[in-house]
Amino acid sequence: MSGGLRATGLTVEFGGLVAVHDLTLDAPLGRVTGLIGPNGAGKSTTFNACSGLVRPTHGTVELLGHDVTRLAPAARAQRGLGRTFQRMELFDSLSVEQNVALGRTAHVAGSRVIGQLWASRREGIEIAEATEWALATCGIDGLRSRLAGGLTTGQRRLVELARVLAGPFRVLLLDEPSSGLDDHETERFAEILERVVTERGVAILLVEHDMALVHRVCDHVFVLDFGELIFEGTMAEVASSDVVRAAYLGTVEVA
Amino acid sequence: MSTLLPFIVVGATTGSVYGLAAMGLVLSYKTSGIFNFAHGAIATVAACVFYELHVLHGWPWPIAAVATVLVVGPVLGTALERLAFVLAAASSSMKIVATVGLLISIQALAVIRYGSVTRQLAQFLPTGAVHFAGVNVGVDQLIAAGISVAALVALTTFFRVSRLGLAMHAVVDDPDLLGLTGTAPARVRRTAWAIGSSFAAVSGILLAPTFGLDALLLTLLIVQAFGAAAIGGFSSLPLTFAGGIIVGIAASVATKYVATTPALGGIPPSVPFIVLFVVLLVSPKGRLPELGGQLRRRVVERRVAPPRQRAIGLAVLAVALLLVPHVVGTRLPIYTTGLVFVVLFLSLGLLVRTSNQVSLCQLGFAAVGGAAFSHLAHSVGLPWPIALVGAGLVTIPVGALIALPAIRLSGLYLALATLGFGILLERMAYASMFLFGRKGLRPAPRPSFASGDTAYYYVVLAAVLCAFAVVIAVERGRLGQLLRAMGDSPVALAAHGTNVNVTRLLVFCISAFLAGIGGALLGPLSGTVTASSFNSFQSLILLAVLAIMAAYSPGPITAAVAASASFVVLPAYFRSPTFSTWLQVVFGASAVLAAMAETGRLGRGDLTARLAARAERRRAASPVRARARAVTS
Repeated sequence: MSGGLRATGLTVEFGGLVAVHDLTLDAPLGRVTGLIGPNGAGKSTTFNACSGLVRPTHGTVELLGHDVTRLAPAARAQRGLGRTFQRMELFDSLSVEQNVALGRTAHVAGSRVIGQLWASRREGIEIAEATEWALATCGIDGLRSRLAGGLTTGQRRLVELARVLAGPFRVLLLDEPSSGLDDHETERFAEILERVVTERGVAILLVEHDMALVHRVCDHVFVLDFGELIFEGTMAEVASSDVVRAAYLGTVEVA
Repeated sequence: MSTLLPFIVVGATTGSVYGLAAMGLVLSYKTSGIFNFAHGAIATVAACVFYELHVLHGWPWPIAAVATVLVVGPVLGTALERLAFVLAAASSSMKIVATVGLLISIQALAVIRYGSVTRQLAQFLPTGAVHFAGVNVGVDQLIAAGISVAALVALTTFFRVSRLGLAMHAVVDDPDLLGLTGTAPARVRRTAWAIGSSFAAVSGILLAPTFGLDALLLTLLIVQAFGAAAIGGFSSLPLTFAGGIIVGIAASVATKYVATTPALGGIPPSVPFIVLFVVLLVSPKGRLPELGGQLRRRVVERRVAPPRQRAIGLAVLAVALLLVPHVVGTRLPIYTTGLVFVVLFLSLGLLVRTSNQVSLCQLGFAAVGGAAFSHLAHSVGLPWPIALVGAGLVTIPVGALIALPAIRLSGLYLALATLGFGILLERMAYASMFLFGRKGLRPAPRPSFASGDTAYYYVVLAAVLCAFAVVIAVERGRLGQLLRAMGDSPVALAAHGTNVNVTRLLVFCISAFLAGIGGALLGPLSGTVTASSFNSFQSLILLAVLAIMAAYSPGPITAAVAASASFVVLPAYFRSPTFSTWLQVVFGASAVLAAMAETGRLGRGDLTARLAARAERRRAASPVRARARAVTS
């Protein structure tokens, strides 16, 4: 299947430690793909390799059909890859509205050299529209003038999601977006993901520990353990797999 | 080869002392994540204490030396460990500002105690020479090298044998292990700082006979040590030691070749800086990591006044500045200088305040601008305003050149590169024809339409107002937004599509441009632009002053004006010659405090927090007390 994000034969080593080994995965457009596994399985490393924060030892990363393995994070973002972080990376001293707007601004500004110095009127309108849409979609309109640094974890997750949604990204990597959220917030979160996928046709790769959420939104799930892909399939197949149960789900209650 | 051998031997012995200091630096940096810019200042303190005991009080040198190391090492080490612990939560620029503040305080205290003329310390080690490998080697050098090697061996043994040493070794290899070693992290850190400070103290005493009690020269030990540490990849202590020897040999061998070509005389003392630049240039990003960035910063809400209030404030300031020439009488040149420094502080503020970066060579940029202005206005004969802008433009590529290798690494390495560049420029380039020439000065004309003092004041004021406009435009515009975002999370900004290296480079170039303009405005004040106005150490003081004012000012303009008022104008009102040196002590100490205050972790020392807690207890206790009174009455 073309489009979306595709990692082939991805291996990441830190010194002698193999964090990810020969991983091949695919996150097609218009779908939510899950990436699960116990702590330390290499999920965040996979994300970092896909977004360019770490350089893989072997393997390639393809984004919307282009090889981006050698590109820096900003260049990958310019080609349509957006992401959130497990330890939320918000602009803490700025307001929620400014944070969300920067999701678009950073993309617009990075698209040409002069863009960091000069903002055109047209761009201003584009940024304002994207910001309003993202704030409304994530339901954080009411927080817009609060400082991001002073919010609760749940609110911060939503701000980070809104920020990446404000950008014109086609592929989204979401790293444990629901951790720290209460049931109500998780429910609304699932609605947002479903809405974004149907309305914008983006590809979402989701690292998540909340199996109920994964079950609800993911079409296809990849399971990692000790840096290796141990299983892939639908959530129903994953839940009934003995391999996965042994490695992971045996200790977790499946909703 | 045989002619080179003496230089190699001499270089290796001096280099082993650098290696010793470098190991101390690596040890404290790796265990705490705080890069101690005052590491050389510890050496200074030790040299001074040793001088007091040995020379002034007549103690025999071995006793004086041991006493000095045993007192200075642990005492300063423990104090620095506490400081480093608090600073762990500070922003990366304030971490640098804090130890730079310490450095300038110690330097000023040394000047107050010993005067500004360097006191010489006679070689206390036995002199004489032994014949070794076909070369005559000084006994003193052999002893110095022997002590350094002994320290290396002792440290390696400590790492092998003791449990604490083993834990420390693990942490030096991988700082993330600190919490996992099973040994109390605080104990590891405290011991590491004590050892690190003791090593600095030993190297200070050993180098004192060569450099004298020159706080500045010993301060530069940090750069030698950094070159060595960088060769060792910031992790291996034996390699760090070897790096020190390499730096020493390179500097020594350079003296041989330079002896025949006087024009290159500046090279040997500059070898460490050249090593520094080469290392920064060729190191892959992963090899020189910045430590201590894990802690989340406390968020400080910027107190931003409403627009109308700000506009009124700006208008009041403008009127006050317009009236100055009619009020201050003969002190007018001081105020004009103050205005020039407002431009310099604005240029620094763009880095420190807006984008969480540090430059330690702002006066180096000013020197480039000042000299370029002289060339353009005097030699080429360009119209005055065009020469002024031209001077700023000339500075931009210089700034870009310095920033490029370091910018891709991190703020700490940018600070080190700028520190190295500032000193290198001063030593090697100030005397060249491009800058100030042998005589160290160049003519710098005033504009033909403003040759009087008052008229020139207004010319500078106009330039300052333009600089205000530039800074406001940057802060309000897209770049300002990106810079503030970058100050909080460069990773997130990059992940959304902005190349943060470009962002950093842009602001660094704008800052260099403004600094160049500032340097150009300075010369015409006296009619000549002189090399001595751009002392590289003053750049560090500028940073400290600006950081203090930025921490307590509502905006960039207030910060720059307040910084200039306290740095330039205030000392002019005090006759005492030591006033500005004391002021430097205060600036340094305040910079340390401002950095600590930023973290909100001042702890027991924080008076306001203590008072608030006491008031809280009072409130909690008062109903009880009221009831108690009711019962007893």
